[in-house]
Amino acid sequence: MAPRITIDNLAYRYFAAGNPVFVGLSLEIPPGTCCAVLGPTGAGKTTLLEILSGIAGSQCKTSVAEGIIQIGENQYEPIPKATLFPGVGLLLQDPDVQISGIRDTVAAEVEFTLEQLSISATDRQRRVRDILADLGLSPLSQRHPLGVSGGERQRIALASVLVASPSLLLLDEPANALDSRSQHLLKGILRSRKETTTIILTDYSIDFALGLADMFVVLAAGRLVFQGTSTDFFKALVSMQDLLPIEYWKLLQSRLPKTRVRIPL
Amino acid sequence: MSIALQSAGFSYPGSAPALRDISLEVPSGDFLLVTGHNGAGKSSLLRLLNGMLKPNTGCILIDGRDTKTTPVSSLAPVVSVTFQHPGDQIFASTVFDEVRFGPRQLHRPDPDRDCREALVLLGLESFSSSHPYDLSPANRKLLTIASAVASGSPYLAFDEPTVNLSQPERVKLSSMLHRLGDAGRSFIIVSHDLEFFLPIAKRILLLHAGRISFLGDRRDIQRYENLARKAGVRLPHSFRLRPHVGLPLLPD
Repeated sequence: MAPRITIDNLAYRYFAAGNPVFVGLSLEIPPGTCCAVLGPTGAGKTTLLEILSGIAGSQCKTSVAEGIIQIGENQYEPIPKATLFPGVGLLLQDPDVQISGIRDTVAAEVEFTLEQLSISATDRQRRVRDILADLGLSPLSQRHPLGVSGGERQRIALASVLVASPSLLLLDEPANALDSRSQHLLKGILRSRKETTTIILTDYSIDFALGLADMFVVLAAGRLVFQGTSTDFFKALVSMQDLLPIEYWKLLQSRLPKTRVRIPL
Repeated sequence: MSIALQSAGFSYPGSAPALRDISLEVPSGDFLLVTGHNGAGKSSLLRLLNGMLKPNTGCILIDGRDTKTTPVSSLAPVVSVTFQHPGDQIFASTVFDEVRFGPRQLHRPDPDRDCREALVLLGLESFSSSHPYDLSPANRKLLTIASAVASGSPYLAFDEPTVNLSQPERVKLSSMLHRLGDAGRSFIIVSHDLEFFLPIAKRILLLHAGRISFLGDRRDIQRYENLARKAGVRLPHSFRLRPHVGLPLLPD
């Protein structure tokens, strides 16, 4: 079941004497929402995903956190201290970090995720076959996972996360290096999982999130600059021109009142 | 000074050809945007240009020299290439040393000055003494681009240079491209970020399954769009909507 995410007054820094990444960040994401977290470099987008996945709490021993995180029925105070996989799946920004490379084929690499979860071999192979087909990776199933193009590696990393069907899906810049066909495929997969999955994705631009996300959050230097629906976000777009690449959207928006064009929100 | 590919083809061992029968000339002062779906052969094309990969068929002439018989070190003064992942090329322990490496290896008259100018151009001067891995992913990306710029090569070839760049870094990259373009440097850019590059590029190349599907002027955008759609490449929403509000498909 898709969980509700509540972040209550989160403060976080990587070192006790370091600059804070977040100070008093509060956010509530309803179950089954696809939430786009946007903002420039250093906004805290990746750190937020690492905190929710449990990676920050389990691997960054020097970090200091305050506040409360709630994921569905589970409350963590201040943050999760162990990785929450497979309930929470995290796609990292760099596919070469995500892909283990210890298996010789794309299919075996994706199946490796499921081997950790005591799933029968028949079920594993079916799920791998399905996710590879969904992501257009079937023709590459017998290739080495690191011997393909950058965009294809991005899709393999995605398959490795999606195959476990996490109920909270965290995607760090998932559209990076994906061509428009792959972005379209990914949007379709994410839409089809919205009933059962809460999705949080980060991006530095708005194109991928448009038509997919129903909640937008904009962060800048760890502060919440905006949160709201896609319609509210589009109305407030001009105020975010220093934070997001919206030059061409701004121009379109200025001409919209004279036309009847539907924006793909 | 020019780059010419003559019926060039390339296959990775045991795989189907990544590139087939590519004939292409990139004159001095060009800004060529290379587009195509994932696996279309775009990154392989860049690796052929600096001699890291050698064509299996046909030939590639860099300033008249065949890449098959010319050492990579002799091609570097002409073409400087950056990879998609900064980690594939960064090796020095400070930003300054990383950027100075190219001009030093190429025996440029004043490598320190080349390095300082490139860092200023990409807005990285305050990170000179930082370790490259202490930079944000976006600034690491700009670091690899600064290294190519400092080398002084007249041809700069970047693989997905806007990946990981947010708005402030995109502004820096755009400013650098305009300044160096005005100064006569030539660019060959592999990218899916058509919103960023279509307004800047002079010519567009569309690769589909390793072959040239379109090569032409950016003003021929309508024909490009028709072929690109068949190849699974779409223009960004913000461009596709423009004709509906009375604007030309491509911004000036």
